[in-house]
Amino acid sequence: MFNLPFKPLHQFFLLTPFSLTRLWRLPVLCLFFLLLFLETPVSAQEPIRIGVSLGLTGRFAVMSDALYKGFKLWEQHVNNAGGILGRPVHIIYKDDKSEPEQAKHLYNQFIAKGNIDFLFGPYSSLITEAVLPIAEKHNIPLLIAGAAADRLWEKGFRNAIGIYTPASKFTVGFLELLVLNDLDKVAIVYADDAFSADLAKSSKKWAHRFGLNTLMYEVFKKGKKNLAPFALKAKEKGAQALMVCGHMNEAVNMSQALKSIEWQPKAYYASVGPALQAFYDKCGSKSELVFGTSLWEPKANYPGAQTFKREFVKAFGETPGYHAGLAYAAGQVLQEAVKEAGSIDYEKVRSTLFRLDTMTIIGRFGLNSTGKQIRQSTFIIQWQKGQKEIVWPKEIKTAEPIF
Amino acid sequence: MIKKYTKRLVRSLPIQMVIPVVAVICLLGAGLYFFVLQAVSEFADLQINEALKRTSSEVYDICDHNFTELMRSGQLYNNKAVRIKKALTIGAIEDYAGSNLIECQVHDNKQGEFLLEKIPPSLKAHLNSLNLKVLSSNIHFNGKSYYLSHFDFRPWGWSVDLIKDTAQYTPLIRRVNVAYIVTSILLLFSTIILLFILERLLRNPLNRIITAIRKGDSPDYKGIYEFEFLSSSIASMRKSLEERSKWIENFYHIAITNRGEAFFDHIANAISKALALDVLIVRFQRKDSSFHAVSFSQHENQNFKTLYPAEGLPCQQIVNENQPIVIPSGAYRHPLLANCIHNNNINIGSYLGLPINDHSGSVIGIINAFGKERSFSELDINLVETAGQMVASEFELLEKEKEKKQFQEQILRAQKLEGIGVLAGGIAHNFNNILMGIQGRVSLMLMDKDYSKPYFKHLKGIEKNVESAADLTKQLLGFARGGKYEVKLTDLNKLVERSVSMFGQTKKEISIQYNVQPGLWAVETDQNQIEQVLLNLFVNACQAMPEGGELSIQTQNVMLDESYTNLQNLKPGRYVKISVTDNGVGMDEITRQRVFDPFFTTKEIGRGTGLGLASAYGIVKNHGGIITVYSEKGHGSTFNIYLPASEKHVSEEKKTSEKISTGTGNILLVDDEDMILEVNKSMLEALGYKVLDVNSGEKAVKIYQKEKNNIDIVILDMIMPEMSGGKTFDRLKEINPDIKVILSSGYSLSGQAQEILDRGCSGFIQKPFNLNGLSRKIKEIMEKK
Repeated sequence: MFNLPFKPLHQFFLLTPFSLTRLWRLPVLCLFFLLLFLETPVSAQEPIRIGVSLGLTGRFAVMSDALYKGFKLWEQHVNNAGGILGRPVHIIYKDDKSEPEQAKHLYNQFIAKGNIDFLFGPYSSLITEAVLPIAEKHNIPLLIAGAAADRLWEKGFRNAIGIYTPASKFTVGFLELLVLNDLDKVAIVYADDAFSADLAKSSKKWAHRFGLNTLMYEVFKKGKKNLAPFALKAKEKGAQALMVCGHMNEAVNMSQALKSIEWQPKAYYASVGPALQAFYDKCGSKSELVFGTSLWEPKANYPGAQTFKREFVKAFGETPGYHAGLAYAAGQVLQEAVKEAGSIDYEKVRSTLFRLDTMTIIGRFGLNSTGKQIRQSTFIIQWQKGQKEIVWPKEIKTAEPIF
Repeated sequence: MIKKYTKRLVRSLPIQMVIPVVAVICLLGAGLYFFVLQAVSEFADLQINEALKRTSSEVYDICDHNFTELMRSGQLYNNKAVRIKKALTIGAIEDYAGSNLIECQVHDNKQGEFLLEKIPPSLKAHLNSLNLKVLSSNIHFNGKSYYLSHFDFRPWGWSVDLIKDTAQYTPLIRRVNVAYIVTSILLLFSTIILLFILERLLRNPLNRIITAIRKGDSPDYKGIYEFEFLSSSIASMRKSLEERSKWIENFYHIAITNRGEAFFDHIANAISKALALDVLIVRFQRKDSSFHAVSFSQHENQNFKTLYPAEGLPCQQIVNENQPIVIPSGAYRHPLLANCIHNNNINIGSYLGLPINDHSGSVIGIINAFGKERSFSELDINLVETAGQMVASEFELLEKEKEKKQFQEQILRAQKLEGIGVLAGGIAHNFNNILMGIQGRVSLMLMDKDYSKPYFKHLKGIEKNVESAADLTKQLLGFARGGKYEVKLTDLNKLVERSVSMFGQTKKEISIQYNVQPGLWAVETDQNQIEQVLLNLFVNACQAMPEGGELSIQTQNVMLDESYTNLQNLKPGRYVKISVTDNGVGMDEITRQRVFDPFFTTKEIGRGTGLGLASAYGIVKNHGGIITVYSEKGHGSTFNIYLPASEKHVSEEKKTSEKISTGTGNILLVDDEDMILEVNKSMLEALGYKVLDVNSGEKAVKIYQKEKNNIDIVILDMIMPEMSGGKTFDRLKEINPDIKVILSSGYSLSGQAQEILDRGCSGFIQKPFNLNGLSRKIKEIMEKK
C-alpha cells in the first residue's frame, strides 16, 4: 500500500473559487506525478525502521562506535542494493550513554512511538540484559550483536537472537592452546559485570574439562583500574597462564598491572580488547604476546569479509574490528530472515530466524532453541610484533602461538 | 404447606428441565475434562519419553563421533589430543542439552569425577540416593515429574544421565485447565441465561395460561406464537366443551321429555339451531330399501324453500357406504347433490349427512343438514353424531314397541283362534260321532256288494258325502289343532314332491318351480295333515293366479335363533322351511293380517269355506311350527312353513293293505253313544269278531275283570261321561298290564289321547272310520306283541 508523505491528493482537487486564483498548484501537481513515475521503487516505499541504542558515550563508547559503524555500513549497503523486500532500511541510532536505565528508556520509546519495525541490541551484556525484557514484552525480535553473556539465553526469552558465539565459548581455543603447550596452571580474574562473570565461569569450567588446574579464580569490581594485586597473587600462586575476563579497560589495566609488577606469565589472555586495534594503540609494546578472543577477523576470509573490510576502511578510514563485523553481520542476518519470511511480521521473521542457516561476514549463522548462536566460530588472536595474528584454530592460523 | 410448596417447586418446569440438562452437561464436562487431561498428560509423557530417548541416542552419537574422529586421526593415545577431544565432546553435549532443554550430567567413571553437572544439586542427590541403573525411568521429586535416560559411553568410561522435566508440557496442561475453567464459566452463564429465558419465555406464558384455567376463565395470552396458539386452542376447546355440554344438556332434556315424532322434531330443531342449517331426519327401511322422512326442520335464516327434502340428497350412498358425507361449500355443484338443484332449484352451499346406525352397526336412518355455506368442525360432527345415536335409540325403541304390540295382537288372535278351535273341535267331535253312525251303517250295507241293487248307488253317494263331511271335520279339527292322527318321521322333500305331483296334474296352467334342498332334515309329522296344508296353500296360490302363473316351492334347512323364535313363541333350533310362492294378485295389509282367521275368505260365497289357511295354521302350530306370510298387492305372496326338525332319520315306510281283513277273537267295545255302540258292534261282527259291548267305563271294567282271559282287544271311546276313556284304560291296565286297547275318538290324536297312548294304550282310531280302517287297525294291534 502506498502511504505517501504528501498532502492527500484530493486536497489538490478541492479547488474553491477562491483557490482557483492559486493557479500555481497545477504545475506542482504535474511535478508530483512526474516524480511519482520517475522515483525508484526503494524510495517510493515506506522504509523498514530499525531501532538501536548504543553507548556512544560512556564506558562502552569504543565498542559501541565500532558497532555503530558496522550498522551504518550495512544500512548503506542494503539500501544501495534495493533495500529489503523493495523497502529501504532506516536505522534509528540512539545514545544510551552506556547506561542500562537510559537504554531501557530508549527502547521503550522506540516501541511507544510505534515507528520501528525491528530492534538491534545495545552494546554489552549488562545493557542488553536490561532491555531484553522490553523486547520480550512486546514480542519483538532483538538481534544481539553486542552481548555474549550466556545468561541472556538462559532466561527463557523467545526474542533474544544471538548473532555471535556466547561468552561460554570465548576461551575454549585459548585453553586448548594451553593443553597443547603443556601449560596447566591457570589463574582467572574477572570483572563483576554479567559478561565478564559468565566468561570467567565458563573459562573455569572449560579449564577443568581440559584437565587444567585453576589456581586462582577471583573477581574485581568493574572499573577497577589497579589490577596489580591480582596479577601479583597469580604470580605468587605460580600460574603459568593469566586470564582476565572483562572488556577493553580490564585488558589494558591488567597489561599495565603486569608491567608494574614486571611479571610476564607464560600466557596472558584478555577476553575483549586485544582483538581491537585500540588495544594495541593504548598498550603499545605491552600488547606484545597478549592473547585475546576475536569474533571476526578479515583474515578468516568468510564471504563478503574482505569487501566489508575494504568498504569499511573506505567509509571510516580505519580497519574494522570484530565489533563492527558483528553489527554488519546482524544486519545481514535480519536482511536474510525478512527476505525469506517475505514479510516484516514479527512471528514470521522470528520463526525464520530460528531455522535460518546462512553465511555472514563473521561466519555461519545458526541458533539453538534458546536463541543462542551455535554455528559461529571464535578466533584466538595474539599480538606478535605489533601484528594481530590468528593463532587458533590451527586450520586458519596466521602464526604459531608464542608462550 | 411447606411440603406442598416444595413438591410443587420440585415438579416445576425449570427444575424438571434445567436440573437434568445442567447435570448432564456437568457430568459430560467433568468426564471430558478428566478424559482430555488424562489424554494430554499421557501424550506429554509419551512425547517426553520419546524425545528423551532420541536425545539420548543423539548424545551418544556426539560421543561416538568425537571418539571416532580421534581414533581416525591416530591420536587415540596422544594424551593432549584426548584431553582436548574429551573437553570438546563435553562442550558439545552441553550445547546439545541446552538446546533441547535437558538437564545433563557426565561422570568419568575412571577418574571418579563429574565432567558435566547440569542437574540441580537437590535432584542430583535424590538421583544418587535412588541409585538407578536402568536405561530410562520416570521419577517424582518435590512434586514434579522427571524423565531420566541413562547410558554408558564405554570407550571413555563415561556415564551419561539425561533428565527432562514435564515443564515443557505444563503450559499445555495449564491451557487445558484454563479452557475448561472458561468453558465452565460460559456454561454457568449459559445456564443462567437459559433459566432467564425459560422464566421469561416459557414459564411466564404458561403461568398466565394456567392461572386463567384455574380461575375458570378462558386464557387470552398474546405474545409468543406457540403459546398464543396454545392459549387460543384451549380457549376454543373450552368454548367448544361449554357449547357441547349445553347441547348435550339440551338433548338430554329433549330425550326425557319427548317421544316419537315430538322427539324427532325437537332433535331436528336442535341440530338446525346449532348448525343454522335445514335438518332432515330420514328413516331407512331395509326390507324395501325405502327412505321415509321422519322430521324436517328449516332454519329461520334459510331463505329458500325445500320441497320434499329427501329427494336429491345422497341418502342411498350414505346407506351403501355407511360413511358420513361432509361438503362444506359448493354442495349444489357436487355430483351427489346435483339432483337437488335440478329438482328444487335451490343452491345448497353446505351439506352434512351422517348415517344413523343401530346397535349392530346397520344404517337405520340418516341425519341430513344442509343450507348456506359453512365449514363443519369436529364439534359440529360430534353434535350430529350424538343426535344420531339418540335418534337411533328412539328408532329401536319404537321398533321394539311396535313388535311388542304385534306380538300382543298375535297372542290375542291366537287365543281367539284357540277359543274358536275348541268350539270347532267340539262340533267336529259330535259330528264325527254322527258320521260314524252313518259311515258304519253304510259300510255294513255295502258289505253285501250287490251292485245291482238300486240303493247301492245311493249308498255309495252317502259314503262319499260322509267322506266329504269327514274332510270338513278334519279341516275343523286341523284348525282347532285337535291333534295329529298319525305321527311319522317324514322326509318333507318326498311329501312335497308327492303333493306337487298330485296337484300339478290338476292345474296344467300353473308353472311349478320345484327347488328342494338335498339332505333335508327329517320332521315328525302327520303326513296327511301336512299334505293337507300344502294342498291348501297350492289351492290358495292357484286361486291367486286366475290367469295362470308361476308357483315356486322351496325346501331348506334353517337355524332359527332366539331373536326370531321369541317373537313367534317357538323354541330356537333346527327347522325345516317350506316356502310356497306365487306371483299372483297378492294381498293388501288387511287381508294379510286376517288370512289365517277361520271363515275369512275373499272368495265369493260358496266357493271357499274360509277354513283352508286357518286349518293350515292350526296344523302347523300343532306340529310345533309356524306359518308366516309375506305378500304385496300385485306382487304375489310367499307362505313359509317352519317345522321343527327331528333328530331321527327317516326309514322306509311299509305299505299298508287296502284290503279288508277279517279276523277272530273277542272284542270288548266301550262307547257311551248307543248309536256308535250298535254300529261298531255290527261292523266288528261283520269282520268276524265276537263283541261284548258296554256303554260306560265302569261296566267295561267289571266285565273285563270277569272275562279278561277271553277278551283279546278293547275298543275304548275316549270321551265318556263319569268314567272317561282314560280312567277306564288305567283301571283296565291295572287288571291286565298287557291288555290291548284301541282308543277311539271323534277328536284327533292330541292332548288327552296322546297321554293315554303314552301310558301304554296300544292304538288310536279316529271316528268316523270305515270297515277297512277298522279291520286294519285291529289287525295291527292284534299282531303287536
